[in-house]
Amino acid sequence: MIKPAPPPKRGIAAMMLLFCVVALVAGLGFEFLNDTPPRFSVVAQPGGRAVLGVGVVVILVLLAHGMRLLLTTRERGSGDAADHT
Amino acid sequence: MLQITLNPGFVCILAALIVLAAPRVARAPIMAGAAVAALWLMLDREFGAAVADAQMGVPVVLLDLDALNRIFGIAMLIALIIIAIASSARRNRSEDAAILLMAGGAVSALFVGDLISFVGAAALAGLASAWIVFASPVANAAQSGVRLLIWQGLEGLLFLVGVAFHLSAGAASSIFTQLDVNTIGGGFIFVALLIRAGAPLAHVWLKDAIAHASPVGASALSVFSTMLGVYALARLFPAVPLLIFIGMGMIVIGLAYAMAEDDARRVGASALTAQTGVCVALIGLGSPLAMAAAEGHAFTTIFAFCGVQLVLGAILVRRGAAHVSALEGVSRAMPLTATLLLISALAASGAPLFASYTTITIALEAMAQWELQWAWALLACVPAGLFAALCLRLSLAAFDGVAQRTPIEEAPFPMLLSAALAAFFCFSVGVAPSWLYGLLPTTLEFAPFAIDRLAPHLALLGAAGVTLLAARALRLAPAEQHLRLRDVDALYRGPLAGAGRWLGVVLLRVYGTVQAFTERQAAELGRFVMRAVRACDRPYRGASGLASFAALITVAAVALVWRFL
Repeated sequence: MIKPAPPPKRGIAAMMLLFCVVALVAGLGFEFLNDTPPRFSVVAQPGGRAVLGVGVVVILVLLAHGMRLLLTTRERGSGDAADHT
Repeated sequence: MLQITLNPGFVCILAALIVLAAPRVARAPIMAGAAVAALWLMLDREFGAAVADAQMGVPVVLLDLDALNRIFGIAMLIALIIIAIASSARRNRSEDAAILLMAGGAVSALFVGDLISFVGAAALAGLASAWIVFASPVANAAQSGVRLLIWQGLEGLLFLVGVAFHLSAGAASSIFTQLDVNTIGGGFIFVALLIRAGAPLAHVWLKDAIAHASPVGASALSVFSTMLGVYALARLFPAVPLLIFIGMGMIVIGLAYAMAEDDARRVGASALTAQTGVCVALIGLGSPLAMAAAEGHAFTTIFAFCGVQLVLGAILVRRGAAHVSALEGVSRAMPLTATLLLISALAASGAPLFASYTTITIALEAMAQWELQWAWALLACVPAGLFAALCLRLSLAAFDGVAQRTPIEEAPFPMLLSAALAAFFCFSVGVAPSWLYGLLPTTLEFAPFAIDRLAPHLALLGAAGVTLLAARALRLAPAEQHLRLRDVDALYRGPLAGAGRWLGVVLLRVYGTVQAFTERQAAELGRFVMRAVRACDRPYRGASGLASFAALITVAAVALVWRFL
């Protein structure tokens, strides 16, 4: 008897990655192909928004690490947001 | 002759009273019916102010309809219909009445035309929001309700002081129109509105309240609370440059906490703070395009976050928790809910084809016109940050499967239906935004899907997503774990509360010491007086009495001698 395979665990991450890569490539492609007038900001230049996206996530990840290091509080019985567990 | 002007919000307030006595099956239809009736009252009327009445010499304008309050009214009342559908999934008479009262207060505040009525209606909405938290079955909701009540009390106090100062300039100044933030009255009202909008330092009340409200209550709080503050800021304080900085602060705080928090409903509340910050910054900019962007963005944010909180509430109902670290397996047990979570989060983060995208592009255009490069860049960060912190984080956690098959236990149907309606609304506006643009006070010809707007946005979201996924694959992103983060409230709930208790003890001791000293002194004084009284009663008793008698004789003799000589 053939045992059914367990459901995939990380399929969504691959699908998300595919979606993001397609969006990035399509966005960058159209941005560079499209002949646009000069923009007012460095970030508004073709490809600038992608750089901004990378930068935002890097900063947010660093901030999240820092906040969790400095601001994490011990859970108590009469705690706060975690009380509905 | 007495003329009664029916502000659309009054319908919801009346319905709240009816709901208190209505059976369960009738409550949701009454809520939805009140919203439909209020919508009809609003759309059936021409723009302009109704007849003003006068109370104690101050004009009271109960209805003043224009394009600005109409767009907020449409969004809030349609959201109330969605919330009414969700409310039929559970039995909570008190919360149903509180939601209607809050909606009624907020919608009344939108349409009144004088400051006093606005403050009254806004205070009613604030009190009802605390009632929503008190009515929640979530643990420790009562304490959270008290904290919310303190915030609302502080806001109401500032409102009252501001209005009192403002009215001291004359009765005509009670008309609900642009105020000067540099006057004392205007300053107080400005600060009160910042509290309502959830500005930095006052942003904690929203997270705290949403995290402790019931699933339906959290959705109502996200619709009717901060957006009323945004409307009032747009009405009273447009083009105040300080608002640009305050809005940017809200964006930074909202994004940071959305990325770091574990409680998914707090993540949603922080994301709402970031999107509200966009609206506040645009109001600070104050150009016609920026104001149109702010109003449109508030409209789309209302539906997106109504849906997000409903979906997270559905997960809370079924699993007893809505923590990002505990979302694993949600997609297997609740596939429809997980799909709606993904769609709602995409809508909230401004992905193309959803409503928020069509307004965030106007916001970027408005900011670019003023060449505020840093503000423009920060505004452009919002979709990327929310896509990573809200959409990808929650979706990856929810769709992270477990190895064994789990039985399907979907959320209650009314909650699914309401969340699907919110998502559909976001999608339909996102695909065909022209009717939303037609509702805006400023005539707007805007093409959000022009390739020079769509392509950079796709690149932004794609780059943000790839970066976060890469960081997670390399284990550089913070692992999802059960935790709670301190915020500004740690100050007033920790050291400040301790300092308050310590000060109270010290003051009590000082009071006790002063009281004991006073009692001793009073006793001494009493004894002295009694001695004096006794001495007066028997003036010649004892040696001192003889001396007094001798002194009296001497004085009398001297007086006689003086008189006759």
